[in-house]
Amino acid sequence: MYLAVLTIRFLPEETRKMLEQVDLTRKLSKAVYRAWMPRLRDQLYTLQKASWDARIPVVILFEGWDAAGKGTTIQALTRRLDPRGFKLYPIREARTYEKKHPWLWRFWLKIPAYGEWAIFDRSWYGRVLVERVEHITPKRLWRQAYDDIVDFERALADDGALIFKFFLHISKKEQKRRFKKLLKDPLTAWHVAPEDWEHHKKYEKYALATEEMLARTETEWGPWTLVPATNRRYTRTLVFYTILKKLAARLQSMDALPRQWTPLPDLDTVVSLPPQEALEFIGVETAPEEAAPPPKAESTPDGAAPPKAESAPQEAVPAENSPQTE
Amino acid sequence: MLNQVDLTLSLDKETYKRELLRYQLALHDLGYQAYVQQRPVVMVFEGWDAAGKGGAIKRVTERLDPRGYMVHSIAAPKGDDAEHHYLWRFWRRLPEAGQIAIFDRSWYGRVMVERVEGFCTQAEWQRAYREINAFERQLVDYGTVLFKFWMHISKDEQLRRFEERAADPIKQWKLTDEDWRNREKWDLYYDAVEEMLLKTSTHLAPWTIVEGNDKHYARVKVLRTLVNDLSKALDYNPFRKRK
Repeated sequence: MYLAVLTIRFLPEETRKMLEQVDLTRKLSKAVYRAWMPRLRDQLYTLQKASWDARIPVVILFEGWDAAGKGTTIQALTRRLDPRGFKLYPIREARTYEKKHPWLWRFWLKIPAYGEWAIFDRSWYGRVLVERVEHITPKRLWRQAYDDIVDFERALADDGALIFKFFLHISKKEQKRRFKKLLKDPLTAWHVAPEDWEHHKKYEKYALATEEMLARTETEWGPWTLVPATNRRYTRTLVFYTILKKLAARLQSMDALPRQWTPLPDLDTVVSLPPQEALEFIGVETAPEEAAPPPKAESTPDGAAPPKAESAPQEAVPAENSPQTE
Repeated sequence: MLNQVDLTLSLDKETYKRELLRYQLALHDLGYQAYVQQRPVVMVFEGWDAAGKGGAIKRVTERLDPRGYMVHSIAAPKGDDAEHHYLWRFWRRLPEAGQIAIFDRSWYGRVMVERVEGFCTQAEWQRAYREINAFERQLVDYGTVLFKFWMHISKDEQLRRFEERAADPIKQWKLTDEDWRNREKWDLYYDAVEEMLLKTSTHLAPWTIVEGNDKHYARVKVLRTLVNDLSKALDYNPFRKRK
């Protein structure tokens, strides 16, 4: 394991341009998204229950540019999960009492219990991203952080945890476009803080830090998923798809895959096909009604009817027309 | 390694009383210094049943400011502790900067009792050495002053102490069936301890083997080690002449 980190000590030319190789034009059509998403959500709910039964701890972390869509992607993810089965941790700079401990202490406290999901909006990678670029942490310490992180993730993975690491990538231009759009509407302007513009100016510095992070912390137990985040439909679909695929594979190896599981159609194929063919490939004839009821809420205490159809249009509207973007 | 330990080392009562007090007061001074310098201090006590872990801890804390330390008695994990990675319950109990945490049994249980009794798989305790070293490296990197004591007694001495406890109505509760069962596996534990000392004694976090057959000697050795190593780590001499 240490060999892997040692050989990446000097970044070769090819890896240094990982971010540039991301195809930021990737997108998913509205029709396919609307048809496929409900099914993906159902499958996610099913596998969440299965991972609880199988006592698999799951770590999902989101890194990425400001305004890339981490927050809204997490919202989409957690909206249909059983709230008892996951914990969501928004991570910012360490607080005073957290600085009185080794830097990973505050993350060790948040690791998931067996069967639980721990979702991180920003994570320990802040040490080698914002803390590096803004000089919050001395060089010696963030240099060492790569090894600390690899050790940490390996300890979790050896104990059975599934680790998902998503980096939501957008171009500098796209970031500027989104900031401007957010600022236009007073209801969303709060999303853009003054320091976000400062970070925007340092885009190249952050890109370099990101490249090094991706190179030094890419492991077989903790692989990175570089998400082209320009198109929010594609972003969410890729995130759901990645989680479902790996979780299903793990459950299958444990003979714990639920009986009603249907295999996932290949995402790259779906994206490459024109909408009508993509829909056939997935296995739906037409997009379902807007008002399709969400999956049965088994957790309603008094056996009341599942939430009615009006909740579905409510979420369709934000997905489409909200000024609050990705 | 363990067969080279000189278990005949002892201390007479007068010297014991004098040295104990001297080191306890120095330790109090150093405890405050750790607080001022905002360094965490972690002391791990491992050893045979009846080797004197509890007694040593008692003498260590006797003259410490009670607000500055916590003692964690570690046993089989229950509740939330059992629902997480085995190191989670230790990360939770680490002291903040300036505080002292004393562990009566510790994460080393993984490579001792859990290994011998089969509470974890072989793969799990075999990779534990590396995980423990990485864990301790992170503590020391942050600035923690880390102590690891192995309280060592001979097999005969253990029997003598067990029988003494069995006969003493005030201390009978300390002796359980489990102690006798563990004793039957002495050789297995011996091998586990040897491997542990070999694989987890690092430059940054060395083990201190305490010759425990004589309780007086053992306690003074523990205190002397704490005072000497803390003085070095904090660059502070508790015995300096005060005006």
